[in-house]
Amino acid sequence: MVEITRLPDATLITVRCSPAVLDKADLPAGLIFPRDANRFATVETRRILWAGPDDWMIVDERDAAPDLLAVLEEIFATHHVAVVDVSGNRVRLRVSGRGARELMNRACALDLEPPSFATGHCAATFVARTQALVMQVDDTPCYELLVRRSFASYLADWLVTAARGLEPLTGAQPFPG
Amino acid sequence: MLTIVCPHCGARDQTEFRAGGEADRPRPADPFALTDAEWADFLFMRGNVMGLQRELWVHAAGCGKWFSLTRDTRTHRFAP
Amino acid sequence: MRVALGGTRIDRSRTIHFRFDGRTLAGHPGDTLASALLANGIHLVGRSFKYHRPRGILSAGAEEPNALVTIGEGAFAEPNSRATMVELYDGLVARSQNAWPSLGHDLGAVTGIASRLFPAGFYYKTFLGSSRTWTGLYEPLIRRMAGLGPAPTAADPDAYDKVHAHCETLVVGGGAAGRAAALEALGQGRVILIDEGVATPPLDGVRLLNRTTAFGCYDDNLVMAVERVNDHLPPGERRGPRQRLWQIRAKRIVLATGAHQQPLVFPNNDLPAIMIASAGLTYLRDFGLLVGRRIVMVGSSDAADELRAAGAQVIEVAAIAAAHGRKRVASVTDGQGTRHRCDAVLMAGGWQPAVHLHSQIGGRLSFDPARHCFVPVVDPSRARLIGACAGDVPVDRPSAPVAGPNAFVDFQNDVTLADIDLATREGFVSVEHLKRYTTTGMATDQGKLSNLNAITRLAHNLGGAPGSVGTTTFRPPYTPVTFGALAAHDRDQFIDPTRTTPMHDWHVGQGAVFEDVGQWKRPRYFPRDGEDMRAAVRRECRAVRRGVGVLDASTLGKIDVRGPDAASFLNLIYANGWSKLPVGRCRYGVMLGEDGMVFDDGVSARIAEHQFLTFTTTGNAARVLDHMEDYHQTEWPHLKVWLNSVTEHWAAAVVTGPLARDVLREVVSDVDLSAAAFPHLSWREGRIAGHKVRLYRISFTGELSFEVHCDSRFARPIWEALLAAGERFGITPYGTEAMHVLRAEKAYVIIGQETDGTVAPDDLGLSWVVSKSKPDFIGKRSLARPELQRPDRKQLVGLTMDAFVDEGAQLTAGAADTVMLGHVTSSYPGAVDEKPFALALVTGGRQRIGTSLYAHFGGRSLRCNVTDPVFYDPEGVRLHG
Repeated sequence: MVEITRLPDATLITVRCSPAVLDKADLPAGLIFPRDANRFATVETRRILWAGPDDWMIVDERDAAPDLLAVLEEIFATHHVAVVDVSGNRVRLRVSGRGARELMNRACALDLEPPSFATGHCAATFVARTQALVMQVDDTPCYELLVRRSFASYLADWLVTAARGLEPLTGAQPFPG
Repeated sequence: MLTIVCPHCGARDQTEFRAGGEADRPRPADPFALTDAEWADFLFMRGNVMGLQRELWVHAAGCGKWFSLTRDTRTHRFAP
Repeated sequence: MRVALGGTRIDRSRTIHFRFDGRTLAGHPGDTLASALLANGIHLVGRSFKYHRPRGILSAGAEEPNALVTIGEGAFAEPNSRATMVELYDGLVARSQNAWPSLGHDLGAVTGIASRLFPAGFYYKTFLGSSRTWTGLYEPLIRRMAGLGPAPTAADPDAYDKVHAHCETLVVGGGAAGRAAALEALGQGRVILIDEGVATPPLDGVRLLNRTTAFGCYDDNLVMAVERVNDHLPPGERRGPRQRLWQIRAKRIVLATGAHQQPLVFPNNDLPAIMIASAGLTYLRDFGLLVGRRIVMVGSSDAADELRAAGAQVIEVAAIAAAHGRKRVASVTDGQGTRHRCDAVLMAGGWQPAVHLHSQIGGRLSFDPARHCFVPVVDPSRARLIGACAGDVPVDRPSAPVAGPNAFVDFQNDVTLADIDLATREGFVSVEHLKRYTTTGMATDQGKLSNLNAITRLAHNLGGAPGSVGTTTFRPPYTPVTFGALAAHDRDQFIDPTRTTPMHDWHVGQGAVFEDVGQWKRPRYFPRDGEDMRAAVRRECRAVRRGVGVLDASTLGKIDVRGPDAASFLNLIYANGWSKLPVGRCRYGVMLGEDGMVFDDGVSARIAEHQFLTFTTTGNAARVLDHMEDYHQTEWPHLKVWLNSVTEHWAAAVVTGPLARDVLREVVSDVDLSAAAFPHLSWREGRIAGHKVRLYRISFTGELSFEVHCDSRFARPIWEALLAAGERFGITPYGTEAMHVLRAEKAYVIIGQETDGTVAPDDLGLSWVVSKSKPDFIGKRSLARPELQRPDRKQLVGLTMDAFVDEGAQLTAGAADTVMLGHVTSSYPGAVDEKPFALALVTGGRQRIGTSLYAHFGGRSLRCNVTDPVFYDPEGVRLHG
């Protein structure tokens, strides 16, 4: 059974800077900014998503905003970098369980099968009819969505309603290999 | 519905993008150096090409970046 | 009638029952409705669209033009279903269409008798008279007489599914060629095989979609298909969605869609029991039935021997000059003039490859003279075609059309050979005009059994080669698709996303009446004790003017602008200047388009030397950010500034009214709220209920006003703390309706209400906002255009009058004048005294202050006095408190 869960709010920080600045900055071990498009890195409770060529989103499950903001502001102090607390901007939804990918295929036009999309991949795209960041967080597959707060009720309701139509699935055997 | 290749994010459905019209028409650096007619031309007139057109797109639902592509307005195909 | 031979698709051991036009009949599992009717000897299944001629089943497949029936009842009824595609189930209910009082005795047949009065395009030459004769007489008559099945009026009660799929190879068509191609493609990744029918067996490793029609092929190999998941089951046994829409992106497409055998054209070729030859064979092989006992076969076909073996008498003729009969064919006259009695006719016309999907994506066609059909031109960059649809059909020369009365070309739209000839005589010589003038090819069957005959007749009439006139555009869908499948999940409350603020549930709990502001749900007013809107708004407005009100303003757009060039960037974006705004202060800004017209307005605050927070209108939040990013990325990338949306990070509550400060004193810590320490248009940071908040002194009501902004994760406790603190001051939640009235009294414009893209700053009395010293900003050059200097531009004024005037009412100088000078943009009862007032844009408005105008609306006119647009506290004493 597919499950749609609202996860607790996290600290969300947008970091805007050019990749060249990341090369020069003195980053501690726990802060990994993925340089490849559409990937995210996980270190303990913190994920950092690539959201664009000069755009990263930090998702930290601890209520860490003041500390993390201060740390980042100091690291980037002499550079043209924006470190912005956007914790209220998005709500976290998890889509998991049997049929998670089948449900996501109703909501999302991306090719979600490996190798096009796999654990560690993320994408900013449309989910149902709202924009969201989609991450695959494990191989089950299990997905986490970051949706704008005002659209969260709509998206959760939409997913729950669409999930009702999942059984029976046509040609339900997975592609071989 | 077209597939558009964002230079940063890769191939995505057209619905993730917004068209920005003809490319290569920079805003004049000194607008007051233009006559009213020239300024109106910049504001309102476009080439409306039948054939290959260079045009602007923005990956609105994705990375938010603007880029240019060349598209054949007869077949909708993008030039590689 | 059923015979012992054949019947590979039916299960003869079981009998099921169905109803057609009230009659209970028997069939077998595996039958279609068409085969079951034929097995019961029923050929008359409908009446044609225009002439109400008796019609029977012409084919055995999706190309069927005649046998359109309504399946199901009530809200589940589906009109115009092709009986050849309806899978029979026990208890199925079907009704014929377009006949009254009955199929057998249809009064509409009078149009058939008078058919010479109703040739193609007759409506361009008749129905003359006044427009009232059209709406009162002709149109209702036509609606009753013409048409197919009536649509249900209740909402579609079925659920539908819609899914995205991706593969490396998509094969359309599960016949031998398609199956071979699917297996061959397995080495190259994922394979999806789509087949319209039910009988395709699974293929190992291939994702097979049965009962699925690929109805459209679009750019970049997007194929849309509809899967009939549950239509073949009795309603009680259906589980899950009725149908499923597939949106498939394939790296490669292979089309194996086959070909359609075409009818022949001769007088009365539309009589029931005149059928396509290959259909006669299909009904024998698949369903074990003969379509007649004494069959005339015209044209070459191998079917004759098989039909004889099954027990039919088959008379083969080379050509037919005419068919005869009333509700079923009874005899034919052959090309030699000999009459043959019969109870069925099988026509072996040529084969037309099913090239629709190829053509939809721009594939070209060429005419093959040997096969007398259009074949696809191979194009390696598009879909690959194999089998019959690629042109691999028998070389044949079908017999020529025979002119005469009732020789049909397009069965579903009742278009005859005479209509095609008439169109040519009248000068409609382009194939596009032929189609539109005669309507040939425009019915729900999209010309599958008519386009070839129509086009070749046109070419013949013009004296050219058969393929010389070309074809018309093929458009999706290949066969009709129900709206439910296209909408799938996006229906009812999901038709558009709904946006809610963090305080939404609180508003619902208070019984707020909501309005839609774009996609947002915003409280419009909070009725108490059975108040209507007028009473609630009166109470809310008075509370704000005399006490204290609170408004959820979370929907406001908020953009974080930071970097060394933040002020320079905003200087280019806005008409006013930002460089000198001190940290801690706010300023009202107006944003123009490059054409000089007002695009958005709002307050921006300087948070730090290199950081601003820009507020935009709710409706323009995304547009303003897009506009800023556009200019930053494409025009001024050298400016060091970052733009980030924080619209949803910050929730906002407006606390406004003479008692606003008193309420905040109860609940805000770390801020000196006094007027001296915290002046109008500045901001401070403090705490409420343990959470950080930012307070902005910005007023949209004209009263002392504080906007309380907080992290939306904590909005609810902060909102409730404000309400609790305000209780003893009578704090009153108010909605957008009261908000509109209060701001209108101050002439604070609302983008999209006082502006429409053609209104410039000076028109609104806002030239004080426009910087004189900045060398450049978006819109500056256009303000110097002659158009924006005209003295007769429309200008914002106020109006007072004795009764309410509609928004949008036109304004003239005299009561009987017809020259429009302007219009009413906003109209309300006064906040405290409830007297009607309005804002308007009027030519040379400011010169007209002190005079009067007439407002016209709803068939009446009303005298209005033109006034200054600011009705309340013009000195601004109250908001500076």
